[in-house]
Amino acid sequence: MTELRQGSAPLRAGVVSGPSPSVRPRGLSRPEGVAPTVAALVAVAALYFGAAQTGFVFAFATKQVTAVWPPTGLALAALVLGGIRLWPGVAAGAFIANITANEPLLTAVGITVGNTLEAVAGAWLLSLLPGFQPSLARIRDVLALGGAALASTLISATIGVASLLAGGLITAGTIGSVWRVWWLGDVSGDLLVAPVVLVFGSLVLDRTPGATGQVARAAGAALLLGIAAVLVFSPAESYVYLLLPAVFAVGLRFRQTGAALGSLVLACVAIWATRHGEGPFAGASPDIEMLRAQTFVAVVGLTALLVAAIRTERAAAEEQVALVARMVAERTAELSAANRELEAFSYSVSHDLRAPLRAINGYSKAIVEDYAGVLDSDGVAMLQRMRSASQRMAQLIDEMLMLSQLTRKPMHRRRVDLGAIAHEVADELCAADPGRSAEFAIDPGMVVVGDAELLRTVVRNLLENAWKFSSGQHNTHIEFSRRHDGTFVVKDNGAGFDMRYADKLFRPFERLHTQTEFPGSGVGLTTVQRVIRRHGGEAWAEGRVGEGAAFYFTLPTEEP
Amino acid sequence: MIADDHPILLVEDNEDDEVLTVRALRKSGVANRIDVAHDGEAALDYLLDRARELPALVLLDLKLPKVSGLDVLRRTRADERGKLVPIVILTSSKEESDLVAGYSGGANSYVRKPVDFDQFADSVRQLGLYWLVINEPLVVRGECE
Repeated sequence: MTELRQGSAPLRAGVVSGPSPSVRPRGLSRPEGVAPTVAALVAVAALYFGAAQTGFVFAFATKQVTAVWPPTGLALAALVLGGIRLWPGVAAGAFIANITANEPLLTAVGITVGNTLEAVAGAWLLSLLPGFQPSLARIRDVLALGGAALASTLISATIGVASLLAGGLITAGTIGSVWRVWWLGDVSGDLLVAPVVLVFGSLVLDRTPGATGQVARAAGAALLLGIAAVLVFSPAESYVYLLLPAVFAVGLRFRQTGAALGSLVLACVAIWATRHGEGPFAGASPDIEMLRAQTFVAVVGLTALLVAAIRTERAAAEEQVALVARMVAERTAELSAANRELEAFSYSVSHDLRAPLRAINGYSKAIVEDYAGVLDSDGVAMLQRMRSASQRMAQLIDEMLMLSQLTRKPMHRRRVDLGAIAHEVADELCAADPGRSAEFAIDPGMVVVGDAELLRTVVRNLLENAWKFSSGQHNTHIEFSRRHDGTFVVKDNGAGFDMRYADKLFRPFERLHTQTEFPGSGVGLTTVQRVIRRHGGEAWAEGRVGEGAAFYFTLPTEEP
Repeated sequence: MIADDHPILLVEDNEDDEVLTVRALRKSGVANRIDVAHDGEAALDYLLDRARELPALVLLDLKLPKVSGLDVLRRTRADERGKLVPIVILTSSKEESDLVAGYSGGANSYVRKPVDFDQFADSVRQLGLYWLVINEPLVVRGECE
């Protein structure tokens, strides 16, 4: 904060007793909010007092004002880390700091109230940001601190200046400039001192591993920065911008620790040099010198913290990306292992499951041939049934393998004319059953993008299905068209089905009819659905018993 | 129907398949001696033995103990003399990988054993007819002869 000292009297005074000056909005106290220990309160008060004494080091000789008021930052950090319940410590520290400086009691009380309210308001504002991290690791944390600093310090500046005026320590004419200096000094305290306490406090509270080494290296870097700053601030020419890359580099390398320490060191040098008439900010009225130094240190402090936060967020994002990449790699490995297993399984099925069936079938036949004399017609018929059953099981095995391959085979997408395929299939169906009266209505121009072989399976299955289930009709009518919304439909005038069982249609080996009504294994529509889903589309069916069925499917539209 | 002094080598580990294949061959009138190797190693011993005459036809299963059918095929084809013998893969699977490996390994033919014995017998009959009668074999005698 900007401290304004007139004569030898610091204009900060505190009231230890009396009505509580703090605003305590609901939800402010921390969940663990037991009464603060006396030790914690004494510590805060002592630190505040010490910070106030340090603040006078930054005083500008000419007008007895300080460019940075460290106690403001210290108080804010203490209330953020330790809870707003520590406010009496702030009030006590402020009171002692000013009571020892002989100012009118009323003025001292006013200033103390302002200082305490300022810290409480700042901590409360930060508590409004869900998950505010005192480590300032994220951009939003830094921006929140900046916002809280700019806003909460308005309280202290306004109450403080009013107290000075009431005590007759300033004249009405200087209100504007005193208010501005006070406000910017407090803002700088929040932006330069609070970060150091917050960041170091977080390191301690979080028990960050390797924190000591990190702090030591950051401090070393800050020291080098300070030496560079001393060199830069020696000549009167303005080369101050030379320091910017250096302080940002320290923020990049040492993150929040480096940014906080580096900008604080830079601020000390800048203010000390300006106060002693050195460097680019000197050589004007104290008021202007002050303004130059304050804006410089506040901007550097905030920007350095932002740079560090950006760096940290980027590192976190990179970590996230690496984690996702690792997960993808793991999943891919798992998936290909599962695929390999599936392949090994189906290989073994295709080799080993058929051999016993061949034996059953072959020996049944051998019995019929070699023992015809001792078998009656029933016995021969039973053996014949065994042979049919083994054949049927072999067919099921083949279809199971085919289904499992549908989802494993690589897809080759290209333009496919569904209508052309449909015409070929229709011709084959008619040729295989030349006596049947049937007509196919197939839309022209049904060109899509997909795997030609797989889509051929879809068209073939749907048309064969329609052909099979309309075999009982006098005149078969099958339609294959694309509707306005892009949905494809294959419609027949066949046996239809009960909509209650519509979901069963697409399940493998599920059937709605017996083998004698309509032969089949129940994988045709499953195949259709799997292929369509692999293409990113959907398949469904509508029908009524005796009134035919309609099978719909969609395919995502994409440019070939 | 066919009488030849050259044997047929049946490489088959499954006893039922062996019985049924021999039955089908005999029913088709194949009179050649039928030698059986029950694993890949025995098949290689047979085929790579210079003292033994080459069979007129090898019926080779793929899934075999010890040395796989595909390895038997490759190593026989790598042999100077073994290049000349007709090898027909006779197996349960029609996995595409098996087909590709079979043909690129130098198989003369790839036949999937049907489950139905009538179809199986018919396949075997046609195989015998083609390879033992229609096809003109290159006669290679064993070195001892």
